[in-house]
This record gives sequence, C-alpha cells and structure tokens, in this order.
Amino acid sequence: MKKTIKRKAGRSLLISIGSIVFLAWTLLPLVWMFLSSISPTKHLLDLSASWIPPEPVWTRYQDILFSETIMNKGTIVSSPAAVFKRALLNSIFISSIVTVISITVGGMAAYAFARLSFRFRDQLLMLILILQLLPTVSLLVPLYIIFRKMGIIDHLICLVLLYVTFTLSYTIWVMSGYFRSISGDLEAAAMVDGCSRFGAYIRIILPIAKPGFTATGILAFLMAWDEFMYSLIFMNSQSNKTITVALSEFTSKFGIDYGMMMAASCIATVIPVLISIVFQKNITQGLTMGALKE
Amino acid sequence: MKKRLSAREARLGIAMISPAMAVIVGLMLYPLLYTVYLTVADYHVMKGVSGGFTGLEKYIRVMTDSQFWNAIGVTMYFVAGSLILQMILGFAAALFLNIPFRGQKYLRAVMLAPWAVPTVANAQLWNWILNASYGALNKLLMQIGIISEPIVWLGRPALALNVIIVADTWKMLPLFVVMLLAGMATIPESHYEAAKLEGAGILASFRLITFPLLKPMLLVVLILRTSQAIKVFDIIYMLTQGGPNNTTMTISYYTYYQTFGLFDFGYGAALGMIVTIITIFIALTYKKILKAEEVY
Amino acid sequence: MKKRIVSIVLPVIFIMGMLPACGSTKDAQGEENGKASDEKPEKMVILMSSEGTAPMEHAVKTFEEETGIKIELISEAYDNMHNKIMTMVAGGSQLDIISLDTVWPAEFADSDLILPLDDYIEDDFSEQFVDIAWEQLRFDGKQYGIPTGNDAKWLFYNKEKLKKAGYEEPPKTWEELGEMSQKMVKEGIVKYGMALGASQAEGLTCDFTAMLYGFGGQYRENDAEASGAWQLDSDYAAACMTWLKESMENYVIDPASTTYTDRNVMNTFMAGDVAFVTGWSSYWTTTNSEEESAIAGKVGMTMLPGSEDAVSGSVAGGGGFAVARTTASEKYAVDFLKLLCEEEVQKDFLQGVSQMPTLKALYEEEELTEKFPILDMAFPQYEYAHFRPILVQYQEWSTMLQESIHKVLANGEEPRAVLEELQDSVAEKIKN
Repeated sequence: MKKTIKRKAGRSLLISIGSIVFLAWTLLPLVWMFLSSISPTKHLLDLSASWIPPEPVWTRYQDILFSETIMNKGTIVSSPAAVFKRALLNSIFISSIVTVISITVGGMAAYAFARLSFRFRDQLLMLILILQLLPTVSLLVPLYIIFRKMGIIDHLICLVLLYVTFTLSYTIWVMSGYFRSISGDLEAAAMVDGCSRFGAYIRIILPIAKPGFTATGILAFLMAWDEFMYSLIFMNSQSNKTITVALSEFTSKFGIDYGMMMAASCIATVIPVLISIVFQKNITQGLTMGALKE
Repeated sequence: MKKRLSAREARLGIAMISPAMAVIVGLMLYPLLYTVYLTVADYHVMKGVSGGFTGLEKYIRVMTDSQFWNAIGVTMYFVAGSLILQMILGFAAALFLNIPFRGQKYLRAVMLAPWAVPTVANAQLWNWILNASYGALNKLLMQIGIISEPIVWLGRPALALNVIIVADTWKMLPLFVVMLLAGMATIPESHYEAAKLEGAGILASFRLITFPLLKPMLLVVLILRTSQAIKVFDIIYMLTQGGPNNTTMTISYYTYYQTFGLFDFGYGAALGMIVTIITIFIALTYKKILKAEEVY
Repeated sequence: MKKRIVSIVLPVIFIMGMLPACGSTKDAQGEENGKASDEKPEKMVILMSSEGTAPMEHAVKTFEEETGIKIELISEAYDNMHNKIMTMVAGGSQLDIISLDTVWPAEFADSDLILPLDDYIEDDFSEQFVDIAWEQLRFDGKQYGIPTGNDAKWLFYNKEKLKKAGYEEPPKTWEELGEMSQKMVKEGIVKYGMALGASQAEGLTCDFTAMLYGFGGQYRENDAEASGAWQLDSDYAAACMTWLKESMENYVIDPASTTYTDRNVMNTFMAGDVAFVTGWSSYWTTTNSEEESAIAGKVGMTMLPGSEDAVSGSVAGGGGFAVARTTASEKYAVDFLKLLCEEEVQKDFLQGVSQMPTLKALYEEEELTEKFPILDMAFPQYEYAHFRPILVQYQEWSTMLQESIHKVLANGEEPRAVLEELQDSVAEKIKN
C-alpha cells in the first residue's frame, strides 16, 4: 500500500518536472520575445536589469501599427504603419486564396491519383514528390523570366501561383493517402444509383473527407504565411509586400533596435501561433495523415 | 463495356489532375529544366544564353571547388546534428506526452507554437537570444552562475553551427513530436500488455515494440526533415551569413552567394542541381536502411 | 524503384528537346532591353535601399511635378539589394535608377548591368563634388554613377569614460588606443576598450582597410592607381593583423565583435560598455539620440588613429546612384540623378537621414556647418580615406579577405601564415 503511494508520488513528481521542462523549452523564447518588445531599449542593453521591465512601454506597437512616421535615432522612417498593416492584409489575402486553390484543385487531383487509373499515374505522383526537393534559389531566375512574360511581376497573383506550387504538391501527397483510406463502397453505391464518378466525388467523398481538407487547408495557409524568398524577389512596391518581407526590411531599418525588431516579430507571429493553438488537432492530423498507413 | 468504362475513368482522371499538373509542370518542372539547361549553356547575366555549350565544365568546377566541399561538410554536419538532436528530444517528448495525465492536453495544445513562428521571426528571435553582450542566454547563464564571462555563441567557430542547430531544433521539434505521437497512438495497447506479461521492462518494450512499429513513420519524418534541412537558408542568412570563418557556410547559402553575390547564375544552378541529386540519393538510402514498405 | 526512375527520366529527356526554344526567346529579349532612347518615358523605376526613403520621396515628388514622368520607388533592405538588382535586370523588368554602393561599379559595369554616363554630363560637372566621392564611382575611365552620399569611417569615443581614466584627448595611434583601453578595463571603467563590426560581411573589409592604411600599408604596390602587385603579406598588414589578434585576446576589443554587423555594433557603445567604436557618419546622430542612447551628449567624433607610419587611415564609403541597363530613357534617368545633386536635396538628405553631402560647397556654408557640427568634425578625415580595391571580382576578393581575418580573430591562427596564404590565393584567382 505504502509502496504504491510512494510510486504514485514519484510518478506525479516526474510528470511535474517533465511538464515544467517542456513548457519552459516551448514557451520561454516566445515570452522573451514579448517581454523584449515592451522593454525600454536602455533596459534591454543592461545585463543586470530585471527580466520583466518595471515600466512596460507599449509605444512600439503603437508606432508600428498606427503612426505615420517614426523618428528612429535621428532617422525618419516613413509610413511604417501603412506598410506593415498592408503587409498583414496581403499575407492574409494571399494565404487564404492559396488555401482555397490548393484544396479544390489539389483535392481533385488527389482523388484522381487515389481512385482512378490512368497512364503514368504513379510516375507523375513520384515526380511531384521529387520536385518538392528542389532548392528555391536555383529556380528564381527562370521563374522571373516566365512571370515577366506573363506580365504579373509585382502582382499578388504571381505569389499565389508560386505558393500554390508547393502547397499543391503537399495537398496531393497527403490527400491521396487520405482518400485511399476511405472505403470505396460508398462511391460504388452512389454510382449504381446513377451518379457519375465526378458526381460521387462531389456528393459523397467531399463531405466525408472534410477533416482531411480542414487539416491540409490550415497547413497550406501556414506555409504560405511563412514564405520569404519568392516574396522578396517577385514583389516590388511597398503596397504588395508580405509580412515576412516587411519584417526583414523592418530589421534593416531598425537594425540595432532589438526591442523594435521583437515588437514587429510579435505582430508577424501572433496569427500563425494562434492558429496553431486553436487548430492544434487538425494540424496534427494534417501533418500525420500523409505518413500513417491505415 | 468494362474497357470503355476504364477508358472513361482514365479520361476523367487526366481531366481532374490537369489543373494541378499545369501549375506544377509550368512552375516547377519547366524552370527546373531551364535551369539544367543553363548549367550546360554559356550563360551571361545580361546577354542571356549566347548559344554556345560549355558541356559539363560547370559541374567539373563544382567538383574541384574546395569551398563547395566545405559547404557540403557544413551542411551534412547541420543535417546530421539537427536530425539526431531532434530525434532524441522528439522521442523523449513524445514518450512523455504519451503518458496519460491531467493537463496533458494543455501541453499538447501549446506544443505546436514554436513550429508556427515564421522562419524570419524565428531567426530574429534567436539572434537576440544568442546576442553575446545582452542576449537572454548569456544573461541567464551568468545569473545562475554557470559562466562568469559572456560566451560569443555565434562568433566562435566551434559553437556557431551548434547553436544554429539548437535554434532550428526549437522550431522543428514539434514536427517530430506530433508525428511520433500519432505513430504511437496506432500501436495497440495489447502489444505492451503482452510484453509486460513476458517480463519485458520499459526499455525492452521500447526497443522491441515502439521503435520497430514507428519505423515507417520515422522514415517519413526523416525524409521530410532531411530535405528541409539540406535547404537551410533563412536562418543562416539572418544570423551569420556563413561566418565565422565559413563554419556556417551551408550549401544553399553558398549557392545563394554564387548566384546573387557573384552573379554567377550558371554556376549557382549547377550547385543547385547537385544538391537536388544528393537529396534524392539520401531519401533512397533511408528507405534502404529502414527497409520500410511503401510509405506514402 | 529503378523502373520508376527510368520512367521519370524519359519524359524529362523528352521535354529537354524543347529547350532551345526557350534559349532563343531569351536572346530576343536581351536585344529588346539593349536600346534606350531619349524619348520621354511615361514612368521610371528607382530601386534604393530602404534606409533613406523619406528625403527621396521629396525628390521624387519634385521630379514628377517638373517633368510629368511618374516614378515608382522600390525600397529594399540593403542586404537584399544586390540580388534584387540582379533578378530585375536579368529578368528584363524596367529598372531605371539603382543605388550604387562604392564597391559595385566595377562588378556591375563588367556585367553590363549599368551604363556609363559620360555622354550625358557636362565636362565641369564633376568639379562641384568632393574628389573622393566622385572618383569612387569611376571604372575603366568611365563614370558610372553620381555620388550622393559621402561617407567614411571615424573614431567615436565616450568622452566621459576617457575623462574618468584621466585622458583629455582621444588616441592618435592604434597602439595608444590599446594602452588607453587596457587602463580603462583594468580600472573597471569599461568592459572592453572598443567594439568592431567584425562579422563575416563587408563591414569587416571596411574596418580592415581603414586599419591597414592607419598602419601605413596598402593592398597593392600602388592602390591609388589600382596597379602593381598584391602585397597582402606586407609587414604593415602583418602588424595590423597582429594588433587585431592581440587586442582580441587582452580585452582591448570586445570578443563578441566577430558577431557584430557594422550597424548593431553601436549597441555596445551606446550602453557604455566600451569606450571606442569605429563607425560611419550616421553613428553620430544615432549614438546621440536622447531617447535610446545611454551616452547621448557624451560622444566624441574624431579621425581614426594612425601609427608611426601614417597620421590616420580611413575607408571611403557612401555611394550614389547609377542608370541601369534596362532603363526606358538614359537622358531622363540622368536628369533625375542631377536633381539629387542639388544643394537643397542634399540638405534634405543630411537633415532626414544624416547622409553626408557630396557637394564641396555645403562643407563651406557657415549656416549649415553651425546647424550640423558634424560637417566640420567629419571633413578632415576625407583626406585620409581610401578606396577598397576597384575590382571586377571585388565580392570574391572581399570574401577571401574576410575569411582570412576570421581565421585570425575567431580561430586564433598565426597572422603571418594566414596573410601569406591569402597573398597566394588572391594572386592566383583575382585578376587585377
């Protein structure tokens, strides 16, 4: 009896320690990011200062999000608010469109790869996988030439197309596995009832596969949000920049002001992190269902 | 009748994949082939392709370039280091989170947060944490009394790449944990009970049940992470630009430097092709080592 | 598996057959870019670094009103400029005017990215500029850019810390700077003597150039005329490198310097942890900003130290703007560049982003020098400011130098041996 109590106490102690280590590892860097963003610069540049600033300053957020110009160390930084807010909107817009396209177009292709047989099917699927391994840097110049011919450099549509390439590959890979895990009986029954193959996909499969679509959709959104290099090269005007580029440019303007950089990082981080917490279950599913064999 | 049906199915199949394939072929395969073409063509930034062919000259140059081999070494160290660290920590975290206890669901809920932090912001964050003079890491270590003088994390050749591995691990670990947890959830409890009856300890049941059954999942994670880690760029770009003394000059940063720093696009493209081949080769090797069946 | 790979390779080879088609379209497009006319364009595109956009916006507005040409201003972080310029020009987008850093003319001109301006500027146009500013944008006897910023490196010091240690004057030689630093460190006045922006980047090459000249050396037998054999393993270079190495070891230089860029190195100085920092002119405004800097009002600015063999040595920075190959109209692009050389515009840049003017006249205008005391403090240094080597393969050369310095500073290797190795590989790979 005593022994089990002891073991139980030991177990819960271990679990507590484990939880603390886990939480510290996961959250402390994020907490530090936030604390730095509200600490005065002089406070940050003092190694013996307290971790939590005695008087938090919120002006950085105000400057980034609402002010027309910022005087930064004697240098005028023009319209950061306009650029940053615009970049946030652009990112939300692009990521959403990318999500919609990749689940509709990708879902359709995934279904075909999973259920229909046609020539070179497996080879094409393999090709899609291999193309994902390509290093971005070496594709930039050919892509630039293609988009210039199409006349869509510096248009949001150009980023949408580019982001769709990698979210599509991912969606097809994952969703085709997902469709294979769904039993074929339902479609067969529907087709006996006079439904066409495509009709069966729309009416029967889509509703069943909703969790799969939610999961891959969220992941596509996050991938598009995170992208940096393409956006850097293909967008020119201030009004077309995405959040990651705005952040990196911001860094060079405020290159020595860590508080300002952390405030901007916080703004760029908050949406994806919230999504990761709220949709944690869906994301987990999206990440794993491509790998799990049913 | 049956034949006609399958022909119709094939036509439908082609129709359903064609929008997706159009994008993938147009924006991935075509640029890729164009790039391959540039590696063997006489190419100049402004004048474009002059029509002459240089054959395999650029590839031979890559093979005899000592900087390239240095970059390969650095990249392999990065890939191996981050994968091993993430696998060990990933297993530890997944085994821990697999124990049923109160509050577990809260831990799982925040687990993904680091992974969702945009790469650019993550690099920024770690640049600040690792700052030698005022960064949080030195501050913490000095307050606890582990060190008495600040350590120049990103400036010492022996340290820089290792701390970048840690920064990468912080962001990427959740991916490992999520995948391993999902794999563990598919292992029936009865396996463990049976093992327990036969007198197997925790370690033995990990070695005999958990690990072997997770192999397919592990293969997927390893291939995914290897292909990402070989491409590591953003964090190097923002933290060290390849320094100190080229100890963090990874292959994709070197490719970037050749392409945009020296305007040598053809050579950069040749480097990119070689990296792609290496990645495919590694993916195939994994498959062989783990002897797993079809996994996708 | 094997079968699969074969079946992928086959279609790939098949599609390869279509490739010559793409080659020829690229050629056609090259021609279409090659010609620039003097006709008035509807729109012009300017690419500049995002640090100085506000005054540029004023200039753009003036130009638009005068000419009716619409201007699209693209601003990029400085670190991204090089690749942005390359993709835009190589991809054939219209780009008229680009920022031109001091060390870019040779490389850009050799790659045909920018156009020589000699046909569009008057013979006496150059006379209004500070010589070094004008000269540094020349290559191969042609003028490739119009200078707008006239920068160099200076020594910034913390007056209060120096006074505490009993010094009235800043150091005149690097040896003296070392001795002063050691005394201040010993007395607990500062953590280290000075901070350097010595991460593996262009800033390191700048600092080394300044110091090398300060120690009496140069890169080639005759740097001023960009001729002569390399002498990277000279006694002067060795003395300079040895001083750096020893200073890293005995607290004269902050060991974290190998991670600082030439921007964030200011933090250590502003926090009062070091007494000296070498920096560009913009450091003056930044380190004196009341809000952020703990040492505002205590900063001194003077010439960089020298040695027995030289009074002082500094490096020329700054730069200007050039006309890109893909311009719609060379004439109007040059007109815009000329606008940037007007006194009022240069004053605006000085006021807005503390960019040092390139016009001689502004350094003599009393009203202005009173308002901006930095002009007087800055001027003497220009006489001792030198170019980094003008080379087509500049980036490559600079990277090799940075690697060598890091071998000494970060790995602790022997300066002589490293320099000899550098001399050999530069002599072999870099065309002079």
